[in-house]
Amino acid sequence: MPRPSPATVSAVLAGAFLALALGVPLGAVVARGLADGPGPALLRVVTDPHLQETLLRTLLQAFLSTVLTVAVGLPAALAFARWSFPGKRLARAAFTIPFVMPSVVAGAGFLALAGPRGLAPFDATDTLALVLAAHVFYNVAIVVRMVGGFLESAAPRLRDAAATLGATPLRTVRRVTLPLAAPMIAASAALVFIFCFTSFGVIVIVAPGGGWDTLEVEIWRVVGRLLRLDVAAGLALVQLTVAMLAAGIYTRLQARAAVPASGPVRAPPPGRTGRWVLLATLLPPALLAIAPLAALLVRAFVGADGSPSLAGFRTAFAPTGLLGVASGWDATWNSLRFAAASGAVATVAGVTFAYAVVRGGHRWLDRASLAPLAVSAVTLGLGVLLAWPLLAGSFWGLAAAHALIGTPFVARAVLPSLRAIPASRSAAAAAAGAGPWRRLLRVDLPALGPSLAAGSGFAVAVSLGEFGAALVLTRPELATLPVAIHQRLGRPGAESYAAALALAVVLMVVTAALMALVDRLSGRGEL
Amino acid sequence: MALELTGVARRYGDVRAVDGVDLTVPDGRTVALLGPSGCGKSTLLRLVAGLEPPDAGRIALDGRDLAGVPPQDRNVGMVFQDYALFPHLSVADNVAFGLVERRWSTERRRARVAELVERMGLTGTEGRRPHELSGGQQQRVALARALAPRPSLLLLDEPLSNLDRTLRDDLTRDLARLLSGLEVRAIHVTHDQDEAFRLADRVALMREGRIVQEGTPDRVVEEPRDAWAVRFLGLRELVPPTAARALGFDGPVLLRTERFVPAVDGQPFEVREAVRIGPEFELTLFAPAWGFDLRWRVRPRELGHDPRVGDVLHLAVPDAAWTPLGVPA
Repeated sequence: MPRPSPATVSAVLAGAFLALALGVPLGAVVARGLADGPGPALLRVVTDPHLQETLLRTLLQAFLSTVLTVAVGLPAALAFARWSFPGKRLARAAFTIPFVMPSVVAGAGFLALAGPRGLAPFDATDTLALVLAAHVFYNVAIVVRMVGGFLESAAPRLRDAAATLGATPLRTVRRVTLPLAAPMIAASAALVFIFCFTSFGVIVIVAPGGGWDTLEVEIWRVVGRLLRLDVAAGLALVQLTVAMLAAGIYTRLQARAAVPASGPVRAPPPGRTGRWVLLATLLPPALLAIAPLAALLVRAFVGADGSPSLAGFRTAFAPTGLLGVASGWDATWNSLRFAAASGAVATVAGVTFAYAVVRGGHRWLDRASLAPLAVSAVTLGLGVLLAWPLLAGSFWGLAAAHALIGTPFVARAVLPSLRAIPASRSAAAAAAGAGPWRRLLRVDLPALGPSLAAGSGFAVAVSLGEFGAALVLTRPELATLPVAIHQRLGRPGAESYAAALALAVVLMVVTAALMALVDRLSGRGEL
Repeated sequence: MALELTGVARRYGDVRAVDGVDLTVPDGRTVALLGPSGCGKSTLLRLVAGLEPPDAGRIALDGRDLAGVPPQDRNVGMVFQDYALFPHLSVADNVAFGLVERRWSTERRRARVAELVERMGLTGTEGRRPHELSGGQQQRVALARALAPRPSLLLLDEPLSNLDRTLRDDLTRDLARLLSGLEVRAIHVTHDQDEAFRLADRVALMREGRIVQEGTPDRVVEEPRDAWAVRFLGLRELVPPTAARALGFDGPVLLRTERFVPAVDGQPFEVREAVRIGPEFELTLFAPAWGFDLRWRVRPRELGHDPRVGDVLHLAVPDAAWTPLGVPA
């Protein structure tokens, strides 16, 4: 019997991983959600007035967040595509930083800015305004990147054409730019909607009172406080349905966005009016992006009396002696362990996905590799809890969940590089006597180096910042940094608060350093 | 009434893309801007269209200075190299784009679009999107769109360069017929001399941001101004500079071998190489009197025999075969 080829082995491994880590847990959620208590849990959930209210509130919040995010991001995207100006790269980075920050860090930043002990003279905790601000902060990068990137490659020559045909710049935006970008704008809005609809970390931290709980937060509360897993599963089904609908709309719209007409052209510098327009469109979102993180840094290094202090860091890293509060060292150690283990698994899994798709021709795995992104973290945690009760609370339970969430990033980074390897190179190696396994080892893997490193870096960053699944799946002694930050924020007193901000700064710095490294390594990807 | 460019310049950093151009396009004439890629010809077009401001110089259309006039107010039609058709609009809506901006009534718009669609041979494609058209059709939509608002000047930026050779020849002929029927002033930018000579009443040779020579196609070919123009136009009979000096010329000189005639009392030339190219031979001839090699094409019939290496041919060299050139710019 001939040895199976690496492509076949990859397809089997990738399929098995997806089935065990995502398929079975998701199946467990569906089964439990439809299982008979007195009547199916799903039915009880959708007829319960309190939960109906939660659904409506979540929909309203996500809708408002999306409208605001597009309103802030669209002018910036148009400005980015329209002009080149000094500091453009820096401005673009400023928009992207929030998106890659862990939700807990973003939340802590908004608390440092407008929380009870924040820099602002008011306390906006538990207000819709703060929730919306945090969601805009988080997601504006999606609109700027997707719409801006699309227009940058599609629009410059069309703009010139419109101008020679008599259209003023404003008329050009109305008749060419906006209609052209409409599907892409709608697609980015659908994506923002999904993120805001399933928002967890931001809500838990900036609106801890529960007034703006999303379904995702409600699922966690039900699991944690009441241990009513059937209700949680019913809620998860409702949330999953809405998110899937939005995801379907997103894929449709993105495919409909017209193909760019030409390669990117260097945009001209703004004229006199253009400079003011540029300032007006970029400054507010840039400030919104920088303010919370800057506030976090300032607040973490300033003591209660207003003088510079490292007290927060000292408290954070001292042994706590409190039940249910992890010390900074333990949390950092746990975070690093989870990140290393899940990053390693995600790397192997991501490569098997890419290899099975490109070399094995298993096209369905291309789409399937994106599936983990469509399932929210708390739902995934709940699924693991239901499907693999023995793993729940163990190191590998959460590590597997993190690995699953990280896999799409590795797969998406590796896919284009693997596709870019010409088939003739493999053929040449084969002609030189290398079998399929030797070719994988000596030809393909070395060529994947940079994209593989970038994808793994992303997977590690995702694990470091992941909050929802960690909260559902870990026992206190396995608390990661985000969980530890949440523990401290939940305790009264200035000391706990300062320690929480200190830990948030640690997480922010580690994530930023990792993302800077990824940025260096990659430069391209398919996400 | 004309388009007049005086001392027009545009630089990007240290690069002088357009470096002091003077050019006049009279009514109803097509001027071809011919030059290698990167010579600044497309930039010059963008300056005329108003898509970029010149750093210096004056652009005037029918006596009106265009400085500070935005592109949308210049009434200039432009066909872009990649056509730049609006992908979200149908063929008819693409053609009508400029008419809507000029507030033409719906009926006039419809009539004008129908007229152009018919004239361009696009009948039946009105409802299609640009990506559903062939390259040649896209090119004609782009032309129809530019012509629709009756521009006072048509700018063509290498409109045929994205098409394959055969299609390009066909379209060059179509375009030549259209332009001659329209009586519209046009500037046609190209790096292809065949295209330039077929389409244009006048040709302007452009090099490194400057116009090195301007005139009718015939004159430009007959009397290229300098050695660079000769090389760019693919004329190969440049006399080596030392030999030219020895012969008493104080600048580069062209020797037009096509004017050589076999004659018994002619000058002797030695055949160094003989290559058959189709019905002709291309001979490398050595002129003992001048001391350099030159190429001469001839049909065996004219010589009475097949030329062989080592033969000595006697050829009459008329004075008109020598064309002294200007000093290189």
